[in-house]
Amino acid sequence: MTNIRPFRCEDLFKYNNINLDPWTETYGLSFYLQYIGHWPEYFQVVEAPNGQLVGYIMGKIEGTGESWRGHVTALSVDHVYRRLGIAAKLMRGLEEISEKKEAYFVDLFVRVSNKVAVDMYTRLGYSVYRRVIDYYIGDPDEDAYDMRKALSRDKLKKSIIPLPHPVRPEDLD
Amino acid sequence: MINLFNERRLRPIYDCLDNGNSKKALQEADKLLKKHKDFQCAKVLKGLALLRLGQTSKAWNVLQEVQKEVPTDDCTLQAMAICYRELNRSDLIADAYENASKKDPTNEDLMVALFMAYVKIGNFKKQQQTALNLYKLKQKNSYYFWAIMSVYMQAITNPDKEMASKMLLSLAQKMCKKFIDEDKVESEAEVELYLMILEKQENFEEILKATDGPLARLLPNYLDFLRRRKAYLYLKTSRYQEAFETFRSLIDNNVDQLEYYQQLYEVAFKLEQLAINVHSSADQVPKNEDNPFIFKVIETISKYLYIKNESSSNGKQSSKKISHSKYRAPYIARIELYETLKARCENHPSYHSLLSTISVDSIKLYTQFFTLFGHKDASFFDFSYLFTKFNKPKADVCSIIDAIEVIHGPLLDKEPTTLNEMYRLLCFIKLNYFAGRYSSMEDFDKQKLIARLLDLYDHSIQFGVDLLPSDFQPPDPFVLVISYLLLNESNIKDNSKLLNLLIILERSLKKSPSNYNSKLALIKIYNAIGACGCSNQWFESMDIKHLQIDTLGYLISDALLLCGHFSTACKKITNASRFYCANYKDTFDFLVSFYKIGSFTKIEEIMKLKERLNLSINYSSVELDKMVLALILVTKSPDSFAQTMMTIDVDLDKIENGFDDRLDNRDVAIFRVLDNETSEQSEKNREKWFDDQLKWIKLRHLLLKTIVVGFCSLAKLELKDLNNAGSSEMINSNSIGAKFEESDFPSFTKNLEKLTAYYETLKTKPIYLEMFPLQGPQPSRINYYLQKDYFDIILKILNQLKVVHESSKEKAVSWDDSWLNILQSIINDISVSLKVSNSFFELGKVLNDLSFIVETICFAVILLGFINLSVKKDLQESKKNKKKRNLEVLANISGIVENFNNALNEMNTCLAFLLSTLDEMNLNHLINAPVDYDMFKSKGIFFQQPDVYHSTHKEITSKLEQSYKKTASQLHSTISMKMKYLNSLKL
Repeated sequence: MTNIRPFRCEDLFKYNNINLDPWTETYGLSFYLQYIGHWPEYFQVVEAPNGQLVGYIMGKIEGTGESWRGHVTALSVDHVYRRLGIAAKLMRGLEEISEKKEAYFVDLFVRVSNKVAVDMYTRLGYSVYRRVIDYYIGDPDEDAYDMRKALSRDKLKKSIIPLPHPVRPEDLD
Repeated sequence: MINLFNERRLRPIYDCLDNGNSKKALQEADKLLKKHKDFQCAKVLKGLALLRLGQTSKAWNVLQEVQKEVPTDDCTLQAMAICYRELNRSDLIADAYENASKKDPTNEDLMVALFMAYVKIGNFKKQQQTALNLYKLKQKNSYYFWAIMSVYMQAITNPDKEMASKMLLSLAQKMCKKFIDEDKVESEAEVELYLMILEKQENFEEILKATDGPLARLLPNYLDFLRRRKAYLYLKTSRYQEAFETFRSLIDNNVDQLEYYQQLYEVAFKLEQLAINVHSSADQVPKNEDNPFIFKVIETISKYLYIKNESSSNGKQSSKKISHSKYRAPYIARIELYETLKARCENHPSYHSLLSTISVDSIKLYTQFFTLFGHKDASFFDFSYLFTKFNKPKADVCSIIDAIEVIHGPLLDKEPTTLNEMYRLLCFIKLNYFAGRYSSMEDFDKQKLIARLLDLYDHSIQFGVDLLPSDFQPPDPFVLVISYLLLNESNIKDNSKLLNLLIILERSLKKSPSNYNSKLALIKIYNAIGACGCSNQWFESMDIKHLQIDTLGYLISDALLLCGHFSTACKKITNASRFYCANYKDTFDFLVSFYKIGSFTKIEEIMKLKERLNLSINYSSVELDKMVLALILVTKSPDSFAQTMMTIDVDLDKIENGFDDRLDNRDVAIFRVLDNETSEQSEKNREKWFDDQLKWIKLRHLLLKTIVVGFCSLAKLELKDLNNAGSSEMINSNSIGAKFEESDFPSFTKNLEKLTAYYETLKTKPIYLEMFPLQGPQPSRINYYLQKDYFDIILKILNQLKVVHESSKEKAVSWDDSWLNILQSIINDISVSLKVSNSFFELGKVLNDLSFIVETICFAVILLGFINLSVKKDLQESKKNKKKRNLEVLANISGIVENFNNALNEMNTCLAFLLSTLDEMNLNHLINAPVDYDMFKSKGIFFQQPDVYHSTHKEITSKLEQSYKKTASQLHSTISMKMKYLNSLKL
């Protein structure tokens, strides 16, 4: 079961079980506040029956013209609560909101090595639009897939036609 | 407005400031001011450069000069705002904009900046006035709603809830209503603000009206959240029928939201209660079939227990097949409803038939849940939630476990063949743990169980192939259960068992490097045995940062101080202090931006967040520890002590404010606890920690304040000495030194009295040393501290200082050396304990004592320095005056000098002995002791391969040795440094 509700500032005090996952970035407070302030409808949290937070999605809507899109900035689920379809549900929610806001597509970045996540996004209808070289800074740096899913406004699915060549982070729009 | 010409001239100064080259910026500003002496912005930038060079008073003068000229150009004002912000005087930013706005009252930008300046200082009343003035100037909706939000903030922060908040809220509501009636409301944010006001007024009817009326067009219904909100409004307005229907329809759209089912059955009970009341008033007895609403709930739940699969995998239409739903919520809801009906059926006989509609008994419901969801890692937590919510006696839980075994066979006896089987087995094991079946086992059986769990771990490693470094090994929970079975006092004190546990955990992390559960267990174990070098290694690997410093920093911070890793502690504490200060400022910036974007609903939340961080008990601890560590690590001589006092940025007055409003923000739930006894004890330990930590902070705060006031009052007499330490311009406005003018010796005496009285109250405080369960908070440091008389040493020296300083020296001055005896006896005790400690646990305790005695020595040396300062002054004065009477005074001063020098010599001997004790610290008997690795005799696929076992064992003992040696060397160097300090005090 997944009780889903809007994220609140106070949730930042109890999301550690989700964020201690090494691939879930813990951002500075200002980063979360920016999302909470600007795109509160894009920030949802999932609670277990015992009240513990078990997952969240943080996103935004951005772009102009045909690149008006929903973007998934962070999506993470506590290890114990995986294999329950929580991430998929959060993604569907973000897509639904983006549909209502008449976005053309939803996009996200994922580590190329994160096979489980790439497979999940593929199952949810996302495809690799392009590869971004050294998007993730670390030791070593790692490439990202920019994955996209066209929404109903993009009738011809133009937004997801893959780019033939990889791009560098500085070339992202 | 500044023109391009001026901007070009200012550019070099801005560039230098941006690049951190304040000296060059100052030169550039001077150069420009030579040509244009009235260039206001250049003056302010000069002020900023001075400020960043530490020349606060010069910077201050420059700023005051410009402030008097009432600048109105944006660049100058912005530069002034930066200066005032760095000076922590945001109130002056508002002043500057206020004056500018008076001078140029039609300037919209100035007025907006003034509004934001008020936001930063939280002056809601002035915010309101400014926003209304802005609205008069330009009829923009945003200005009008800024004013309303400002009224709202006045209302919710007003201490007089009854009067002012009602009036203010009603004003805010009327202001909104006016716009609504005039059809001027334009955005979601404006409607939300109106709803927020109504919510505070508890005017739920009006909210419902608004969400049903024309305003609703502005409220989007993302993810059904608007309907969810309405459902709760129906509840609050007692419209249960509507609430019932709304929750039912919410379930249709979100089958897995347990909350909706829970509300649904609670509303059903309410509706039936109302029906009963109606019946009762008509003297009719309700009949069994009088439960239509609950029956409907059962129907709703049943609807979602099974789903219909309409198409087959090849995409062709196939016959409808009914299977179990993959959603847990309807199943959990069914159990909840069953348990609730059962609990209430004594007073409601009609519930019996409802119960039989649901199931023959509750055991069947739980076993079915296990069969359907036991293979999900999360299912155990669903069970524990249900057992806890309905207060299931252990015997009932055992019956459920037995029933599961009847269905699934003896689970623990067979090796799982699939991942799902492994998870099911794990759930079963955790249920047994929850039921207390393992805790009551005899040692022998427990060891057999652990061996079996080890085998199961070994066997199940096969399910974790091709894992990414971020993935957990699926069988990791076996290790977690093993560690919980072993984490008790007797095992931690038994070296062989302890090392076996460490080997199991460390080995599991090699296979599963991201598993933070094992890391947390290791951190707590290493902390418990005083090996915080090892715990810190795992703490670092978790990349804990930002807000986690507040919630998880507790895992390591106290331990580092307790085992004398002062330098590492200092780095952590400096980092934490920066986090708290930066966030304080950041949250203000966000308040401003939230007004700008109209995110009104989040402003109150941000204010609360800011307050929560500001009142965090960890924040106070960090600030006080920062100061103590500076005294331990930095002060090498009286001069360096003075310098530290002048430059350290710790606001003791701020810490003193609102002691009792402190909050505990620690995230203790990070430990996955498997039974209620552990979580209850953990909660008790948490409460004890919090109470004790408050006492600890108070004691430390009083001590540091007494030291500061003592120093300031003595240093004032020796301004020359102070000038050696740094010119007054260097004084940070927040530093302790900035306040030295305010202190005199009587206020030192007053502080000392307060400190002594407070310490007396602590002496009767029971010492609380319950450190188990280890997977939870540990006792506050104060409990270890009060076990020995460290503080008596400090108090006695402080009193000696008082006596020496206050005496006219016309009579012989009494000298109390008893603190030396205490010091000596503690050091002797420690020396003996260090030699006889025959377990890592005992060694850890001795290291705690060692760290406290070293800290005490640091305080003692500083305070002896104060006596030195006071006597030196007497000596100088008496030498100037050669009258006969003064010969007596001189003789008495000589008496003090002699006593003082003798005390220094004796202390020196004590410290030399302590150094030799550290030099002689020998850990070989612990490190090289054999370990019984047959203890948990298992088949030995992974863990018990002798070479792997031995190499891990060696790795651990070598880590332990390193950590202990680091403690010894850090304490050694600290003592050596303080011995030099001590020797420099001889008169």
